[in-house]
Amino acid sequence: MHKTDTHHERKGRHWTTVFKSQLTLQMMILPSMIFLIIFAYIPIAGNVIAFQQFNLTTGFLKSPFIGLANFTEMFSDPTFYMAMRNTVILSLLNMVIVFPAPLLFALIINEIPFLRFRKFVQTSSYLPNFISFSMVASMWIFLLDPKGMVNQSMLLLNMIQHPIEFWTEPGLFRPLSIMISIWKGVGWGAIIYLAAISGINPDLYEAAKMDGAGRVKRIIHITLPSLIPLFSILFILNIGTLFSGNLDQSVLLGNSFNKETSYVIEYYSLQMGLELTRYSYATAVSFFQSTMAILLVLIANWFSGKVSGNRLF
Amino acid sequence: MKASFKNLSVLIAACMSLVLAAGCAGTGSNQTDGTKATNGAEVDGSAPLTLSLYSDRAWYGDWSGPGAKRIQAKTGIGFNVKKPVQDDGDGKDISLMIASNSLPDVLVVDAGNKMLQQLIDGNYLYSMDELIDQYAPKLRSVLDEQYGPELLTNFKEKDGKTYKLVSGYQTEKYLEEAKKNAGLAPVWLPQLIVRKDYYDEIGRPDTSSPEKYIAALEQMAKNHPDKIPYLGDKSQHTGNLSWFEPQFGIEPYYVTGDDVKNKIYDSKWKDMIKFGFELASKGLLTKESFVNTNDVTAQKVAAGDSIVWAYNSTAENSPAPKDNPDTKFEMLQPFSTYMAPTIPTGWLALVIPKSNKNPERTMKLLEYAASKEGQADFFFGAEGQGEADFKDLANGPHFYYDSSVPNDYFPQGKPTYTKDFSDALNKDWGGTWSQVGFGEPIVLLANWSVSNTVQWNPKDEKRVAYDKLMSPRMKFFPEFNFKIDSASEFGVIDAKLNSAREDYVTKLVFASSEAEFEATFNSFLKVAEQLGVAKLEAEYTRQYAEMKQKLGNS
Repeated sequence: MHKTDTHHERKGRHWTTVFKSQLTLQMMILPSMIFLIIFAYIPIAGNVIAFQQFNLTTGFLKSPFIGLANFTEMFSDPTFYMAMRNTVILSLLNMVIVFPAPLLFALIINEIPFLRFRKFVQTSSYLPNFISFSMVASMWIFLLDPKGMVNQSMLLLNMIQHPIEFWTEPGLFRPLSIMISIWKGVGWGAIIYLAAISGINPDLYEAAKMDGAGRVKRIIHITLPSLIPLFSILFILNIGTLFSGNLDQSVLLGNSFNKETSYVIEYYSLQMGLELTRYSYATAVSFFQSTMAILLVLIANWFSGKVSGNRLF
Repeated sequence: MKASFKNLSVLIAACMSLVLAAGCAGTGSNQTDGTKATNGAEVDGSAPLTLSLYSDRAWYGDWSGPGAKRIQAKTGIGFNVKKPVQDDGDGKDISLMIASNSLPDVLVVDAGNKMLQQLIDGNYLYSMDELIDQYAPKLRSVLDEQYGPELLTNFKEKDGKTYKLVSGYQTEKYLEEAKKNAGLAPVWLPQLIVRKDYYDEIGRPDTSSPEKYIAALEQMAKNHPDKIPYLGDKSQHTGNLSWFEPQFGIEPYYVTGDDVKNKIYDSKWKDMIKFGFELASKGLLTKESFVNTNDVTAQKVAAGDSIVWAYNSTAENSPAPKDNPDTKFEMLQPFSTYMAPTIPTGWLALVIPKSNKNPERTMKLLEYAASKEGQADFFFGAEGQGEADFKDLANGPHFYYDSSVPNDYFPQGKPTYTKDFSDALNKDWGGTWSQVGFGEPIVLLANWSVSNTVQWNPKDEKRVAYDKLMSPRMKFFPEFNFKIDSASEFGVIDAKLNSAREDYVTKLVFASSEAEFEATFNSFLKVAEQLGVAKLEAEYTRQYAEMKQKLGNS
């Protein structure tokens, strides 16, 4: 009752009065706001060069405007479509397979009864997260080389007659990329879910146990529903990456054989911007990506609110 | 209590904001205008001066080693060096410097750095001609007489001015010296390297044509079916089979009459791709050479997994493969058509931005660095009295003048490393150079005719034989020094063409049949036409005519 009163009371007051009453807290957040304004909001204005023939030496104030020419060229370039298709497919696969993997992993770890073993599994699963992707790529290239451990083991076990050319077969790039992403990120990604699981009231489990619920039923009826709000928020944040990401895999594991499946939009943007110094064109590409990402986040947020009642904003 | 807590919070927040603002601020040290920054002590040339220097080469030093300290003691000038973690020939750092108006006093960058032209076109640089006339008139005669007049004639921009001093440019004078000292052919020319044991097994047959090479490789592969017949890395094969290009004598551009065409229209280029296809169809060229990085390839070669290796003549000094410590690597006879093309553009370019805080002393330093005395200090180290004169790596002496060997540049004799320094280099080349702290890592301007003198040894029979074999196969094409701005329409066509070639080369090499090869090749030519190769070739032709005229007049 008291809380509601305060809320109504606050709602009725002018924002300056509220601001003054929160001055201490507002000042504490000021440096972060300044940081965000300088490094996140002001640079948004730089997107103007997507509509210009940008010249580095004259700056964007004196560069001529060319309207939508960069966008027209982008939408007429088949390489852009190939990169876009690969990005979306890889991101969708990531969302469907890689994204829920830490949740499942957290549920599994949580059910390990032996504390020491649980800690061992948990710690060893974090480790790949701390290895740079260039090291990870080299390691997997070696492992899956025609003369590598995987091929040699399969040959020894008579599972195959000839070595599989894992890195030159376009059809294998996506499964391998997903596998490496899971291997590298599942342990680290599970931390947030484990933290959430530890916050679930143990009385609920006790009560369910007394009602005769087994381990699976307790997961389905207590653990999972408790994690859905967190899962929804992470999903909304993640969906914005649908039109980006996977640059590491594309650069380090991609080659001319698997380019049709490995070449992604960020690599395209990188090549256009930094290798060809076509800053305006590269900005047009990333402007398109950002716009699509914002739209997707808005849609996902609305959808999540409708379906589960959990919204980010 | 509440009020003091509030005040404390405000104070903390203010401090945090100040820290943030301070973090965002630049030092402003690079912003000084050259015309107003000099003070009396600096101008008289005696006061210590620290200049800022940017190099786009990751190997560039930090000017803190013993060699740099000796030069600093002599000239009073030191450098604050900024360099990238990885070579930045694309000019990403320079772009940021332009955007943030923070160019350093001096830039020593790859002569092909993409942003050099932007710096010139954007009027960010001093003209070298003007600086030389104003502050260092002796430098002109040093460059003309000791380096070659091309340095101040071949790099003129549209306005007739020279903005960069280029090191490692193959002037006539340098080529003469290099020929005289058996130093023309660089050791890094692309070669096919074979394991001696396997080559001996098949009786060391002639490999000087594609057919003979394939026959020899087939034989060795038959004897050792568990080995990779030919192995290189992706940088050598993806996009262009560039490792095979010199073997087929392919020129950088295909000239027919007055027209310059892309090399994809050269029949020799098609022959080379067909050679790759034949190797692949016989199982002698595998996809590994298009996928492996050079580290992965080097590990496989060291493990003894390959028969022929795409490397250079220095492979003869590489450790033996692990599976046979008694053998070694050797260079196969190049194809009779071998030709290593060079478009002379130079190695490093030194430019002076208008933000330089003391152009006068910078030019005086360059005058010294370009002279024979400066070249000796920069590239030979500390001078001693004789072969046995040596204290330690930091202080040398590192060289002496061998009066028994005449030298065109030094009347005192050929500069020669002292024995102990030479032994240290042979024992640990990289480690020794990092301890002595001179040479390439602190280069400002290099006269290869002088700096290489100490390395050249016309009495080394092996080296002389290599130079005799390879130097006639080197060809220079200054007329192909085209300027294509990567962001221009031509640059975009060029980039798209390279990308298409990258896609098609692998399809061609690994085509399932000769008919498929031909069909794929024709389809590639059609794609090239659609991408606008004709437009690009028209630009090549225009620039070619200009270059021919310029070179003819120079």
